[in-house]
Amino acid sequence: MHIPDGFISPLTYMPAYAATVTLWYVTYTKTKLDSDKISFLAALSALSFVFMMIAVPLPGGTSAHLSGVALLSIVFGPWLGFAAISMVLVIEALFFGEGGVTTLGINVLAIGFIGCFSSYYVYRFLKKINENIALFLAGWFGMNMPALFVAAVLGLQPLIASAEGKPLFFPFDIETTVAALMIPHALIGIVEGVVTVVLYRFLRKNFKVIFDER
Amino acid sequence: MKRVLILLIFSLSLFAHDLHHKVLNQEAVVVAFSFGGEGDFSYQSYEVYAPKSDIPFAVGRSDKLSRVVFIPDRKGEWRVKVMSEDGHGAEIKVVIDKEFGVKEYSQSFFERFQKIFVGVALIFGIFGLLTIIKRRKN
Repeated sequence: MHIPDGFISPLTYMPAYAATVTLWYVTYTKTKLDSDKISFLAALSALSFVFMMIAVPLPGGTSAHLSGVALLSIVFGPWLGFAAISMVLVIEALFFGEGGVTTLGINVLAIGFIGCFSSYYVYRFLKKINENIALFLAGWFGMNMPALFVAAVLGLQPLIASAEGKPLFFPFDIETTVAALMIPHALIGIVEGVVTVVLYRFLRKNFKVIFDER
Repeated sequence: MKRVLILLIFSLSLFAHDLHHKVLNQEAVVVAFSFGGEGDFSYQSYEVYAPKSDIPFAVGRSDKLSRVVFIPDRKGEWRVKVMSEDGHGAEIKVVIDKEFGVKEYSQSFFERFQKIFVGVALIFGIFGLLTIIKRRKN
């Protein structure tokens, strides 16, 4: 899901950077991190990093990965989750070349912001009905909403930056990108949903201290 | 005359003892071993096995720079086994394609997961710093 360099026009990634930096500032003003919880946040951020670095091969020659976004945002709230995922994405882009530097803003908006907030609110709305279903769907949406955003950003590139009808950056239209991204992510979203349920239950049972003071 | 002819015929067999040689410039597979430094697995025994074969295709010792070099003659999964007297060693699988290029090879545990190790260490390092800053502020 991480968009590499060269796929996106400056007309897209510059505003995305501006939006990301603004959101980082809002996060800084909104969040208050207890020093006791830093170790848990570090552990879940590291887990999210590991998830993102392991690509699962899928039919059709593509691959996808888990993200742990839903778990982070449900356990620590969407703003702290966004901050942690942003840090993971910055490390991936700057140190390991996973996702481009120019496209970092878009990747942070997609996986960090959209991922954390969509999964958090799905969980909040559905947890009164059934907590397991809410956790599962939070995981699924936390995977698929960013994928939809990335598909839209990629698919709009021919319309945003073309010269004489020839795309200057990503060449495929939105129908193609939506199909190419959403089908694999709909499948991997099921795994993400299950992982979210299992890990949340495990943390809730064994690390009550994270949940007690919320 | 008959004796000379017999002598000539037998003298031809002397050529069989002359070992001929050719110098070729061929593409080879180079497997470099190390414990992290350079040349620290030099002059150690190795065996190279062709695909589906239990008889070594090549045996010898790694060179000064800890490398094992061999030229595959068929496609498939080749095995390179190295071992030192002190019990260190490894078995590497190298998949050769039909153009005799290296298609893939078995990576070491560290090579496979080094990105993850470094990334996780970085994350814990950043959060560690954050903890120190927070505690100092408090």
